[in-house]
Amino acid sequence: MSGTAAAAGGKAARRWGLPLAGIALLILYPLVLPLLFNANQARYWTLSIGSQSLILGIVALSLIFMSGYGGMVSLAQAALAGFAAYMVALMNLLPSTTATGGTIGLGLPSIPSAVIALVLATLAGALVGAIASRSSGIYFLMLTLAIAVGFFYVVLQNYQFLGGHIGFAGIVGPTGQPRQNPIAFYYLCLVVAGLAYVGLRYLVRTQLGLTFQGIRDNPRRMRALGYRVSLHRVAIFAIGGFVAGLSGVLGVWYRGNISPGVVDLSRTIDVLIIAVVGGLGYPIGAFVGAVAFLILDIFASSVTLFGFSFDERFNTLIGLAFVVIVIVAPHGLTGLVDRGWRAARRRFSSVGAPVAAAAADVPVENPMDAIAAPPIDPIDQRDPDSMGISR
Amino acid sequence: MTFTTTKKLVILSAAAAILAAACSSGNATTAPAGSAAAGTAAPAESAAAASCSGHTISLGGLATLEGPFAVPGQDSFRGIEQALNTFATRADKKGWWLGDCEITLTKEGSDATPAVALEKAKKLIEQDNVDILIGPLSGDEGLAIKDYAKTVPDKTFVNGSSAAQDTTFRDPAPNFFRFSTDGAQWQAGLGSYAYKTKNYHNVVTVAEDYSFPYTQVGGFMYEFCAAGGHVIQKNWVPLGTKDYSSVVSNIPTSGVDAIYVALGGSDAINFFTQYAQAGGKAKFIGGSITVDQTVLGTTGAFQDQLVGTITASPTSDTANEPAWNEYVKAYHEQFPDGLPYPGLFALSYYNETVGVLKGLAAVNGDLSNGQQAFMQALAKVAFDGPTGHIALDQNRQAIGPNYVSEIQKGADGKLAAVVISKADNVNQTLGLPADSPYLAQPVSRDFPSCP
Repeated sequence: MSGTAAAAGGKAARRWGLPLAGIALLILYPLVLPLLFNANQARYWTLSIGSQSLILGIVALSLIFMSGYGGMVSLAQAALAGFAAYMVALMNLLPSTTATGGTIGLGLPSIPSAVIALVLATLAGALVGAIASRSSGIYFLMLTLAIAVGFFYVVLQNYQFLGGHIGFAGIVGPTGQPRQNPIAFYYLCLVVAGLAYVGLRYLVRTQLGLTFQGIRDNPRRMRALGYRVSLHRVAIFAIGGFVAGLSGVLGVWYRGNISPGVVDLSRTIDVLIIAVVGGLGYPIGAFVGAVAFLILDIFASSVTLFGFSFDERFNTLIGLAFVVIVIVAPHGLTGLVDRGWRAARRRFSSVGAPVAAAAADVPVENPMDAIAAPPIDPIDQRDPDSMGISR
Repeated sequence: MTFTTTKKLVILSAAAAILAAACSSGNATTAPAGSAAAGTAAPAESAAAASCSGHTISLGGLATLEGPFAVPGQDSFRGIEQALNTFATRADKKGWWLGDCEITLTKEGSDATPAVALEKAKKLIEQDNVDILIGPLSGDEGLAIKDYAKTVPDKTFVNGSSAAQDTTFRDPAPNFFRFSTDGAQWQAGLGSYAYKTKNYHNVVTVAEDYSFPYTQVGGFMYEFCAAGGHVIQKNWVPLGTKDYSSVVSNIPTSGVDAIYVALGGSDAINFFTQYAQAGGKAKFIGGSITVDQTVLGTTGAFQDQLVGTITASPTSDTANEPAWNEYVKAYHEQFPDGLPYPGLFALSYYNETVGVLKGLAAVNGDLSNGQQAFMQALAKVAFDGPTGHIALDQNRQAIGPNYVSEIQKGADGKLAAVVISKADNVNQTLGLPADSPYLAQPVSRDFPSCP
């Protein structure tokens, strides 16, 4: 009896040990920084690395949700985030007349502005879904890319209502200027990111989430079962639009301004890079990818290898690093860690409790399966019994 | 199994090593061994003579290394390094020095968008802890950095080559200094010359749609409109436009004396080519980065049409003044792989860095007390640069020289810009009084206006 309890406790520790350590790290992160750095650097690591990782991670999370559970790699997520950011600006700024005669700004407080922006981003996501979700494969990529680039040119050239090339400045979030209160803004980002992550992880276990995965794996069979496949795909886009919108709202509060540069092609590709580097099959990979992406992006220019400084050639180093990551870790950095963690667990289990090890011995994922079959959530696959899902 | 585990460990440790290398910031560049000797023309007032000791002075350089301005961005860093090589070297030690204080330079590259420039500036100021930031390159970036500068009052920001008017003209930051002239000053002399000498009375403009071309068009129109000219139509195109057919067909075929073109690099080549192909016959007036060597050296049907194009810029390849020739010679000695002539980006960053070194020398490298003494000294710095005298006004904005040039065909059949006139001490209003109606609003798509 006590032996079983201990085994269960050990299993729980193994299952929850890493996530709890991660949560503790994220909460303590801004509090530890002042002990390691001077005030300026602590603020930089809190905002430019910490908060920005969470903001980029949320938009990548929306892409990972759509690709992992909906089978749709949408390139419109950065544009949807930017759309929410523009909406926050239009709601939040004081009423004024633009140079070309348009009246903009409703002067709402920051929270109602954000709520309206999120509703509109959800609707915009659904609209993109209605346009794109009937296509698939390369045509789907082209359609979502066209929508993203189209949105960029609309905001770039519309001076009447969207500020044109300059965009809007002077947008302040509920925690004030992030630079004046970096820790509060970091926790705001952390809470939003945590809710988005937990919410999506919960959603995919509900009946709706299972339907999404059914459609991902075999849309024809789901249609035969009576599900309205297109409608569900639009719903996935709407949810993706909402999550991307969260990132856009935090992003505009972080920068204090919004301009077309935030939704240009590079930013669209950045989201894809973050998701791939983090691991398209892992929701947490969005945040892992965002941290890796930012660290590389920020520090590549400070690297000197064999006496060669990359300060003017930092893009070469960034590109090389991403190529290496994709080659050595085809399931992203999270996939790499996950596999190492599972291997270590198996070894530990086989020493301690051979019977349990046999029970927990999940077949090792064959990389060829991953290529041939639609993407599946490796976390679900790892522990199928605990999810109540029988594959 | 053992093999795969070992392989994983190797990969993991390699990744960790990459990250560790990436995290080791502060690998500031110091002068390469050869360049110390290259600063041959170090004048007597070298910064290395100042009596500074005990600390390092860290400069941050910010220019554009991606996108449409990548090549000018590389030239910008040559400008910073040339100034340091010329004024901050010591015979007995490698590196750059102010007295016994070593000067380090940390470089960062942006992609000409304000958001990225801002992040890179934050990295230099907050993470790398530089004392003085020199940059950025492009107009909108400059406006963003100025706003950021206000939140970091104890650091000094010196412009690179960004030339939007309102970086210093309206709502300036007390710790932002600009030793280069702005895009309107770069057009000084052009409007009057076009109206009075060339007799262009009706002009159409074609320019890129952001703050720097607004400033250029504005600077041209201050003089041109005041002289009595009419700008009957303005066309704004996004940076990087390749298809100008709608713009070309929009330009009236009669009643236009000249087209004012403020486009850069490949944009300009595309426009000139398509305008010539469409059979357009109007004369051209060029912005400061429109008819540079990249355009003049391109063969195409528009070549003959460019003869007689007038342009204005703070630098002229063919100025043939002693200070300029010495500067060009040093540039070629120090950067054998550089451009045929140092462009206005290299010159701007060079002048900014010279200003910084003179300010530092005036306070013997004292950056204590929130850099207050240094900033006060910097505001008073004036010097003779390669093109002429540079001083700062009350907004810490440069007053400096400007050239009007005309494109002519040389004896060898190649096009070159020949200097027509030079104006010294051009101020930011181009001599207009402060209450002039032309200064009542910021330059924009629609202002100034004289249809």
